[in-house]
Amino acid sequence: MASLPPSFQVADASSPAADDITDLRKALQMPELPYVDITTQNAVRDVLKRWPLLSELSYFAEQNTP
Amino acid sequence: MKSLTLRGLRGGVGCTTLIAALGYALHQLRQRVLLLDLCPENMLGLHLNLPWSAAEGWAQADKQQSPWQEAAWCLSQDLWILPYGRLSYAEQQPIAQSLNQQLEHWPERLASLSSHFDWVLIDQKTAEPLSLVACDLEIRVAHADPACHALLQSSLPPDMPLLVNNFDPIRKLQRDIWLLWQQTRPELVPLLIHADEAVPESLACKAPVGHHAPQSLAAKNVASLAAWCLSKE
Amino acid sequence: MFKAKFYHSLRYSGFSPLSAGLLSFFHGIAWLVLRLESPAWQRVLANSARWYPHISNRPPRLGDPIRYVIQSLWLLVVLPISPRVRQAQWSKRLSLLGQARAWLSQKITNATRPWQGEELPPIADVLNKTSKTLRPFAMAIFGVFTTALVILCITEPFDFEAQLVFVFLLWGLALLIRDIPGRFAMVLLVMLSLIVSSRYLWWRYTGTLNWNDSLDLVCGLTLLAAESYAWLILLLGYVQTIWPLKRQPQPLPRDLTLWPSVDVMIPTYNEDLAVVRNTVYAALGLDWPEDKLNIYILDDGRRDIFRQFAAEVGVGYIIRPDNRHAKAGNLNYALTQTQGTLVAIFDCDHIPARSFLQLTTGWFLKDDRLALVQTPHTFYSPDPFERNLNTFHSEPNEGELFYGLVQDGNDLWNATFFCGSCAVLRRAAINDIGGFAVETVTEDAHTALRLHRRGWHSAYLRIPLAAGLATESLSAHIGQRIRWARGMVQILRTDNPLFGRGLNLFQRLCYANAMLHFLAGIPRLIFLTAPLAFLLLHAYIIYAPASLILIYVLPHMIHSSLANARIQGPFRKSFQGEVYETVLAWYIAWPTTLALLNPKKGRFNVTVKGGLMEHDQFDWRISTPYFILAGLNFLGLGFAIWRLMYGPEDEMLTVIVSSLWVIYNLLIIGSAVAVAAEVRQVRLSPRVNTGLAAALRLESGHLYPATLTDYSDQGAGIQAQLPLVLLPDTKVTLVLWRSGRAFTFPALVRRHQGHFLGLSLDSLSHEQRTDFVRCTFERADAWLNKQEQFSGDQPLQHFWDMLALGAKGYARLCDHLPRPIKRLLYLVVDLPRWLYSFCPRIPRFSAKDTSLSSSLHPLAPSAGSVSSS
Repeated sequence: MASLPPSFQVADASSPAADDITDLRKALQMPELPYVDITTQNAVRDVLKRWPLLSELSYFAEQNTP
Repeated sequence: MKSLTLRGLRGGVGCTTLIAALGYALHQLRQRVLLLDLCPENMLGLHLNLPWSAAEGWAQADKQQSPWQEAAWCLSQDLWILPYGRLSYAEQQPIAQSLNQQLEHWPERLASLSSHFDWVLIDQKTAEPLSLVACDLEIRVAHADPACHALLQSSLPPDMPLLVNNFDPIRKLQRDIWLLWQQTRPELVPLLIHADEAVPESLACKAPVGHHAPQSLAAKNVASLAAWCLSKE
Repeated sequence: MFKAKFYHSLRYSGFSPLSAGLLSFFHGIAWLVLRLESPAWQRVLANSARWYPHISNRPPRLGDPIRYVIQSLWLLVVLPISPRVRQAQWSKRLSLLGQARAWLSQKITNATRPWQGEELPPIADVLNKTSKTLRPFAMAIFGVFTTALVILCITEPFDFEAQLVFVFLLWGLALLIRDIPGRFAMVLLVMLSLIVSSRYLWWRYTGTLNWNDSLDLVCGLTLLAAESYAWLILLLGYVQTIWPLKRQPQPLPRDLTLWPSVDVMIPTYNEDLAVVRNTVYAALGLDWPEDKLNIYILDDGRRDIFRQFAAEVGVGYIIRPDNRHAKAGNLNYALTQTQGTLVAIFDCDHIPARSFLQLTTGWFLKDDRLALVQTPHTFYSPDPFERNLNTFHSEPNEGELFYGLVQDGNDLWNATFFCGSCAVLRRAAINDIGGFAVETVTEDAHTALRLHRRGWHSAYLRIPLAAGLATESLSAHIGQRIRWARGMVQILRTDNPLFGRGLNLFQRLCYANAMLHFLAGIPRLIFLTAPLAFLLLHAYIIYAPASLILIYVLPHMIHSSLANARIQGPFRKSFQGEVYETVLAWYIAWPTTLALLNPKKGRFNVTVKGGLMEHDQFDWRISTPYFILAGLNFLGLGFAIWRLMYGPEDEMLTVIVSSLWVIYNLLIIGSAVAVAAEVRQVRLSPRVNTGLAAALRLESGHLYPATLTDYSDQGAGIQAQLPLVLLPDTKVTLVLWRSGRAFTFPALVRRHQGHFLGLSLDSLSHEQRTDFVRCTFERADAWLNKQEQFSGDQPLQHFWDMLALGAKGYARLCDHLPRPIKRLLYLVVDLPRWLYSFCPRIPRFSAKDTSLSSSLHPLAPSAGSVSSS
């Protein structure tokens, strides 16, 4: 099932992945600026749609995380 | 002294090559490094220009009751390797059975070396679920492929850092799996080791990739990995 | 043999046999006679850069033997007994002066520390402490007192000496205040400037008109009208920009279901698909929930390739049956076909960053009556000024003042107006005013005016979130400004912001200032020709002695430039506004006058975007007015010389002052001429400089780390860590990252030079192009910090720069003249320069050593040493 666990929703400032957003926060001098990296979330959702094995396993992981 | 080992999620992910490269990279960062090969295949030395014909190693030394320290090779000041030693097939069998007993000694042996080295990098068999010699820093190594993705779902200690090796950016599936792991696996080491042709070429030239092709992307990735390891103090 | 080598090297450098022979002869004589092998001479020769700076740092010339002789004689004979000593004393005195000034400014800064913040000065605290009943009295008394003082300053007539003292006092005060940072000091400078300028204007009205002579009167009144206009603009400008709001983005709620739906509209008419598609790709990559985002191409050209493109990438495509009212009509039609709560509008070449919507829409949720959030128009290609004057990224461009300061100042008074692109509007508000305004050619400002009249609010976010292409050529630029000028004056006539309901006082003033700004054409022309009234017609436009004029005019100019430099510092180089205005003056004078008289007339001419300047050329047609003005001024200068020689004694000073004014005008016109010398534009797609991490993958499977140094629509430039020798047309893969995701692009090597490689990315699929835009143009931080830190607030330095630019302008004009005239002019200019090259120079005493940059290759250690422990 191609759905994202709710833990994905907001890319927080500590994630090393969002480099241009980190730079944006730095340039605006607003380190607490909430930003939702929707394009990356959409990309993950597309990945799960594209590869059934990945989506099944992620569903499994989702079910089994406390 | 910190001990580090790379545990492959499955065989063939490139742990031995990576250990050799990482040892070299840590040495470039002015660390005193000992590379320890605990695998009977004795592949680690080949990455560091040890002759294939040289049969000495700590396993041989143990069998002959001679000091194991003398089986070490000095590659450069503060970069040493202690190979397993090349055994014939007949000799290998009894050793393998007593592997566990052999390895009992190692924690004390490593303790005795702690003042001489900053890092000891241990190449161990990946098949075992648990590390045979417990290390301070254990990094799981995987490829960004579906098999590894499936293997990750079984209950492994979740806090072991996960490193992706042999990443080929051209392959869409690898990019997709990398993206998925980035978003779902907090233990993912924030750097990749790319699938650079320079890596097998380095082995073919019997050198670690940082020495043979220092300008390649793989060498740069390994250098970043070494810096990351240092930051995990 | 040695001589032969010297001779051959000279011939190789291009000397004729005769000159080379002559030089070699003298060279040989020198070696023979002076015995240059001796150690003393060798030492001198080793330091020849120091002793003969004007000869040894240049290639050899025919007159060099003579130069050597003159310089040697001077060094031996004249220098020891001469002004070097005096010079050292002077420089010591100047440095002492500088130190004293620095000490004084340090003391003042320390003493005024509580007054240096961005908020109100401590006077406000004092007022807050007085009790509520007393407060209005206190403020009234304070107000009356300051008003009386100001009126006294402005209107009290001084004689020459008193005015001189007054002027120096104020100037000294301004110089002291300059060094204090903070807003309070800026307000003080502004007040000083207003007092001085008002005093000047009062004096002009009361003391400098000659009522007896009709010619004098007419000329005088004309000039006075222009100066009053300038004073009004100065005052309104101060009011508008003294307190920029500096609004921050408002965060959106955590719950995505509360986010509003947005329609992104990209109107286009006749632009190429190559220009528009990047905007569409970027719109597809905006960080907004997919179910709440709809993208539409509004194609007034009704072209098939656009329809196909829209279908392929999956965006909406809207066409309408006619083209009435151009862009405004296009948008109004599209509004009927869409339903989103908010509407985001981008010109077809304005590429938004992916963070655009998340940074701008928060304010709509906070304020129900907010109708508009406007963001700056940034350009990633140079405008004609920047390209022709070569100031791209080193000096602020023309739009910086408006988008960096003026709109921010407008925001404080809720007077930000719509600029046509890079903005988000509330659909309900647009519907409330009946759609986008179509009656004038600047439909954007008019729409905002209507919104404000209906009580809607507007906001400005001074964060560059989208970037587009600047106008390609000076003529296109002028065409665009004519349209804006005409439109603004149309609004002034048909929907005057000073009258009519719905606006508060400050909104009226801000709009009025924006519109009055475009009426600067005629006043500027008057200023450029005013001194000619005296020189040509002998009309006393300012009926006062020249010395008095100087001590009234100079403080006025100095204080306004000090205050403006302080306020506008990083946004505009001082005096650059003179250049911009001069370039446009002629062209907007007539359309605005016409629009003032009859707002209905006038065509709408669309700005063309995306052309190519083939080669360096001079735009003769555009610069004809500048030549006329320059010609008149040169004529005036000629008359000035005649008057100096034959005129009455008591007029000498007036003639000199007028001539200085004429020279100043000539140099300003010269800078306009400099802009008209169009520089060749090398490539169709402008490049954006950057420094992103990248990697290059060769077909052999090797990867190399690299830095992406620039990108454009069709290619990229990268810098590798070692020189990669790759033949052109080699296939490689470029690897880029964004947010940790890797993206690969097949590319061809176009050229390589040392560490740099130029790649072309011609054959990419839609998905790959979208990814490329994602990694480059659309990065959230792509357009931030694009400007180098420009240190403004050096008005004197910028003044000289502007004059130098004027001189350079005439020089460039000469470059484009037909050859015989050019040669004659070069002869006239080169002769003094050639003579000057023989003059002896002071030897240089500072050693400049050039250190070679160390190479970055690590040393390879030896491996495989065999020993046992």
